[in-house]
Amino acid sequence: MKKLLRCRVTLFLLFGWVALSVAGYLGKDSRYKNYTMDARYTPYFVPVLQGIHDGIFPWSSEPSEFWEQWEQRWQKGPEGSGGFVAGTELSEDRETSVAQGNGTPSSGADAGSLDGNTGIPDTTESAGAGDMPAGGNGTSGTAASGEDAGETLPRQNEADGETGIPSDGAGGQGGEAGLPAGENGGGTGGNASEGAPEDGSGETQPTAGEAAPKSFTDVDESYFDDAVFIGDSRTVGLHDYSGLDNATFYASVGLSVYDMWTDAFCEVDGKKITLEEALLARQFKKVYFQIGINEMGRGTVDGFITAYSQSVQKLKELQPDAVIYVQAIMRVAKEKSDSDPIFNNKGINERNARIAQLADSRTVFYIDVNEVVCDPEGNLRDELTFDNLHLLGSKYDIWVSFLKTKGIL
Amino acid sequence: MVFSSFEFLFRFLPVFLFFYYTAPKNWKNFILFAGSIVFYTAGEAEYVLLLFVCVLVNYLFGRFMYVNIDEGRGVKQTVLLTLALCYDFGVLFYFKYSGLAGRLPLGISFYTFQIAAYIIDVYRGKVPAEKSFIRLGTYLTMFPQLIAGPIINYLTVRVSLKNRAVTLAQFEEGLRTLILGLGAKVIIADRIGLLWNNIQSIGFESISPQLAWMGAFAYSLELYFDFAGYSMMAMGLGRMLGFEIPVNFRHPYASRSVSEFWRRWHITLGKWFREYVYIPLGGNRRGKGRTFINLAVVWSLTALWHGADCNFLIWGASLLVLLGLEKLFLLRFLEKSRILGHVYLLFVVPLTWVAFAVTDIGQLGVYFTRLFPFFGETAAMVNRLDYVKYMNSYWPLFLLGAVFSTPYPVRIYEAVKKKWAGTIAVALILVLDLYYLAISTNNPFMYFNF
Repeated sequence: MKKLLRCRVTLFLLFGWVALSVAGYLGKDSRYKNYTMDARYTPYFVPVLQGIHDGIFPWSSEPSEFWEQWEQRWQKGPEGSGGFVAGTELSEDRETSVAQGNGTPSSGADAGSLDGNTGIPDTTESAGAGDMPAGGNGTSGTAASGEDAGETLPRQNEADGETGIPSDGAGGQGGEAGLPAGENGGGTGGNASEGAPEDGSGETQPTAGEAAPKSFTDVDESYFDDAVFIGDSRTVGLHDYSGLDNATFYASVGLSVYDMWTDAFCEVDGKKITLEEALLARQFKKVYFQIGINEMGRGTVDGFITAYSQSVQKLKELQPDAVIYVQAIMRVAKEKSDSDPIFNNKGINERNARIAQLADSRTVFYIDVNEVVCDPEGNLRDELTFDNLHLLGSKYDIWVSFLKTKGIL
Repeated sequence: MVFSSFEFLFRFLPVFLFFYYTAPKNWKNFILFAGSIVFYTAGEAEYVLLLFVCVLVNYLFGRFMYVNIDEGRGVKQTVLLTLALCYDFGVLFYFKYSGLAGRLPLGISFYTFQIAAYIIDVYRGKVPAEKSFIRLGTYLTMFPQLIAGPIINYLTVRVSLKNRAVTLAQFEEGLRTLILGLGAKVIIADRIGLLWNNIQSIGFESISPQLAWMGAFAYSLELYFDFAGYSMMAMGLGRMLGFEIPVNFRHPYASRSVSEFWRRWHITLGKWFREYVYIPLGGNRRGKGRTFINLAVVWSLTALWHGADCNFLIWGASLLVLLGLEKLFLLRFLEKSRILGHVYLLFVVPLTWVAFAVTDIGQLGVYFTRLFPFFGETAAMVNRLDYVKYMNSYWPLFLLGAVFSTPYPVRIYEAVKKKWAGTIAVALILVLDLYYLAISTNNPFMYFNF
């Protein structure tokens, strides 16, 4: 016994293993239900550690609600913490919007940690559990959780349709703000080909629901002088390697539509501020938005598109004079697409189809860079990428050239 | 099944250790042999038979080589040795270099060298042929060192194979070594390796010279902490089972010449080449010219052992040139100053590792023109300030890597390991190990950061 007491690390390991495993086991259907794991290969304490990384602690309150809250934040609209801030210049044409008393939770602390910055952790597959057949599990687990969320979602969507959008409508924006899927579907189809007259209706007037659709023209680099690019690591790459030094970039590696309004990731005058603060501080004429790959594997497509369209709506309100480009999610290379149960082109195409529906060809335009970076099969061309996810630094000019064909004047 | 996986650490290992510790003494080798076969099968079911046959063939050749212990070395022994080596290296050649086999069987480079050393030692009469098939099998397949070394000489574990003590204190010591080795891999190597990955994703033609140098250092640190960490885990596991597995790395980046570096990097491989190639060829006792030829042979083989691609030959050749220059005059020059040697080493070794890392010759050329931009311009869309961005996120890992490349942390640990400070340090590293392992484990919610 005395000998055993001298083995302190052994005792620490055994005690910690048992304690955390109990915590993980008890929480496996509540707190940690969205972490897929297979007990044959993974100890029960693993979700506990993964939870700590995500800010879910074994002692967190109402843990089982966490994931629902996350999605609901976006479905509740203005009342939710992701709702709109009433900037003075914006609120005039709207009844006093909700003042943001409930302080958007700053998950910045978490994302700011070293790990959050280290970039593309694709190596983890080979580094760690490369031979763990958990991939299969992951899929089934995710599917299960997807179903779970699916049950609650339709109801929330209805609620959304009733409460979220009309509250904007009341502000006088008419049907356009709501963008019912049916109506847009038609509008999007003709988006690129439709040779609509280019007159617009003078200024881009969000209130002018009757404005005629606009079409794309070729532009030069100065077009991006008053443009802002918002997005994830792909947009970070565009910032680093496009040579578009005249444009503004608010982008961050790992950014998702769920945290883009809460994380302070926009660098303005050497300070990190939230996107909302940044967009209130400066008005742009063009907003380029590309996001949506990090969200795969989290929540449902419906939940994603709700959060996405809320974000677009918010961009419109923060930048009332801007043309908003919703960019298709860039696809991944064949090797990745064929082997990954989550990050594959089928899933990307599914999301892109929904994003395309948000365009109205008046203030919101859908552009798809995949037209110029993919092979006929629709996979990101191998010679353009090393990691199957991102363009090589020297290939971002393809994207830039593409953007230059999509000017709206 | 790699050591740095939950499957190994918290599933295979506890179950195996339970059987291993509860088994009676004379069953332990069998349990270890069987456990190792299970371990190997989990990673490489296809070629487990090949491993088994390797043990059997060499067991039989060893047994037939000497019927009596006082039988001298004759034609029979030489023929048997030749046949055994032809089999061992033939299999290695077939899988690694002929291009006929699809995939390299796991660990074959390591276990081939280990069994070849055994059969040569038997031929030389340094050790008697192992009488027990189980014992020889245990030696060769022992899972702590089966897949990535260290390469253990039969002689060093011969006594332990027959009789070894397994105590609680040894378990604790082994566990600590395992935790520290795991830390080297998951806390430093895997994370600093992401920078190298980033650089590849950007494309070599688009990185600034500063980032190119950061990449060379990052890769050097990744390689070291990955491999040394793995060797440490092997030592720790060996200790838990009652074996003394030799040290494979002695802070090589603290060396002051490439010659010294290679005496401190992958020590067991260096020893193997020394003992079974360099010395038999005459070593350095036959004049300068012959010494150089011997070195050339050793380094060509070392390069080939690491891989069959062309860049490994460039890598081996660059080391050969450096070692030759050092032997001729550089060493005397470097010894004049303490600092100079360190600077020289930290300048040239990362360059050799770049040649080791980049298998495409064209790309290797691009990388070198980025390191030395005055040699020629291959740049396309370079972001001049990219290094600032990456330095901002990677400097803690560079610092950590630099500190743990020196011998000082180990010295401090040795001084306090019996005290609470040592326990707390190891416990803390254990927590970090598991945390980083958990968040990098195959998990659809975790590995998204695009």
